[in-house]
Amino acid sequence: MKMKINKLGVVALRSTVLIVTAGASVALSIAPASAETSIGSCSAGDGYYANYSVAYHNSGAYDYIDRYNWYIGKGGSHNNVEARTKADKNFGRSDPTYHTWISGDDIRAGNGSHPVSGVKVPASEKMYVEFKFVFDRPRLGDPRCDGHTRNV
Amino acid sequence: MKRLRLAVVVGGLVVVAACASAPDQPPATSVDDSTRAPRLIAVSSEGAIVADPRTATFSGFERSGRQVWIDHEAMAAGAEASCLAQCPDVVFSGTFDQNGPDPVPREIVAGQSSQLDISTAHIRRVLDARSLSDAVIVENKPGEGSWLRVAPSGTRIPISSTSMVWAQNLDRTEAVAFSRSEGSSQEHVLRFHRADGGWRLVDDLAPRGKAWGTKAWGACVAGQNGPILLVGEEPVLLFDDHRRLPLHTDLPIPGECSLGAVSGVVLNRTINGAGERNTSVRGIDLAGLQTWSRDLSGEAFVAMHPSNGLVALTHNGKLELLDSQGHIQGVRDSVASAMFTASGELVTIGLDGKVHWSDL
Repeated sequence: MKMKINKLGVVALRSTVLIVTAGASVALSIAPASAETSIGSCSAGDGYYANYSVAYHNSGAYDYIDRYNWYIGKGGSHNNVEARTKADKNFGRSDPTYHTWISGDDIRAGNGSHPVSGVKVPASEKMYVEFKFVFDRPRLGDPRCDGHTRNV
Repeated sequence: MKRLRLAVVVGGLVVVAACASAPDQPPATSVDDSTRAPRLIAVSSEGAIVADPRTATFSGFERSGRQVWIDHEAMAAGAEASCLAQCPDVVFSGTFDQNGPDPVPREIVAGQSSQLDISTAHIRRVLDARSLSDAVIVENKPGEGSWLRVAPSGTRIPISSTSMVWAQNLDRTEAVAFSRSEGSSQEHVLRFHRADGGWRLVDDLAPRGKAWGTKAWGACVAGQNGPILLVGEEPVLLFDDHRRLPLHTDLPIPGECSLGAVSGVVLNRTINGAGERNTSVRGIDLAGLQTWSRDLSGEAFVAMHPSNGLVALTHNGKLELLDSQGHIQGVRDSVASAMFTASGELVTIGLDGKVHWSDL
């Protein structure tokens, strides 16, 4: 099992989270973001912001996450991204997590994405993905913001 | 007069034995992200299996439209549902955890639920089964590895991952299987044909790493001698003579497909930052080229007619029938999901939960 500590102060574990195997590689694959990435965003002020979206497919009664997509609007080459696939249970704080991905300290500004496989969520769940971003800002502290693909 | 109805709860399964002829009617629904509509999972001329996200249930409908069973456990357990010899007789197998252990597969035949003693393996996932003795099963036993077991032939095909994709044509005579997992580029695309009362492995195409990379997670099979369409990050059409045609569309990831004898459809789903689901649908020809496009809000579902190129496109509570160029040939309101049978009948489930068979 690989471990590392990123700027969010979180120990990154490549392991199973709750139910579904986190089988995705941590290797980054940069792909053009789809047009939908421009809709959801979070901002950390001073021009630092990120847009995000999720690609998925359906098979039978289940959805499968295919990619976490983002666009980092400002920052150096050492930004950080976290993404968690969750189910909205209206608990407010204890939604079950189906998958967690935590980047290394090496995410460049601009379009980015991370491939995911094997994350299976029943269509009966109100699935959403929670994103967290830490922006690489020279000399000053790194600003951060978070958001989620949830319309609640 | 109040309808008489006997509901027997057996381990999460409610067997509905209707004493009157009227169908059991699930509640009506609206179509939005918070109450996702019921969708057809599998159909035949005899019956249909429905998944209802609102209630986390699978249910079985006879051709008369009568609901003959409803199951409250399988979806929550991550089980896959597939029809036995005829729908809505069903087998449930598998779970969320790719590493198992898997529960004993279960069947519902004529409305009666029972364990299906089809395998004693640690992992036992039924890809297709007409009966106990006519099936393709993913199995794994610690220390012995993983394989596909084909009954009744007894063939065992070693596999490196138990996360297998299985796709078959509508009349269940042609099929393809391969591993969904990354890092299995040496694994082959296995093509099956049905003959002499069972599935037969008829082709073991080139290792998938040479065929299309390592990132495919879905497939569609048109029919005998027709191509196979593999979808995922590197979509491709594979032909019987081992020709490979990359698929060219403007979708970032064609993640699902439906394929007929003369054309096909692929689609891409996204959830944007506002939590809105969108579906991009693209028509394709068998040269791998895009022929038409639709970008739709909400969740859309597509199904290809087996022979004449018609597409059943359902979105936002309506059904559109499109020709192979994407031109609308007909519209029906209040439809949640549609599929075709092997003979080309259209099966729909309405927003009112009623399942209906019709000729076009």
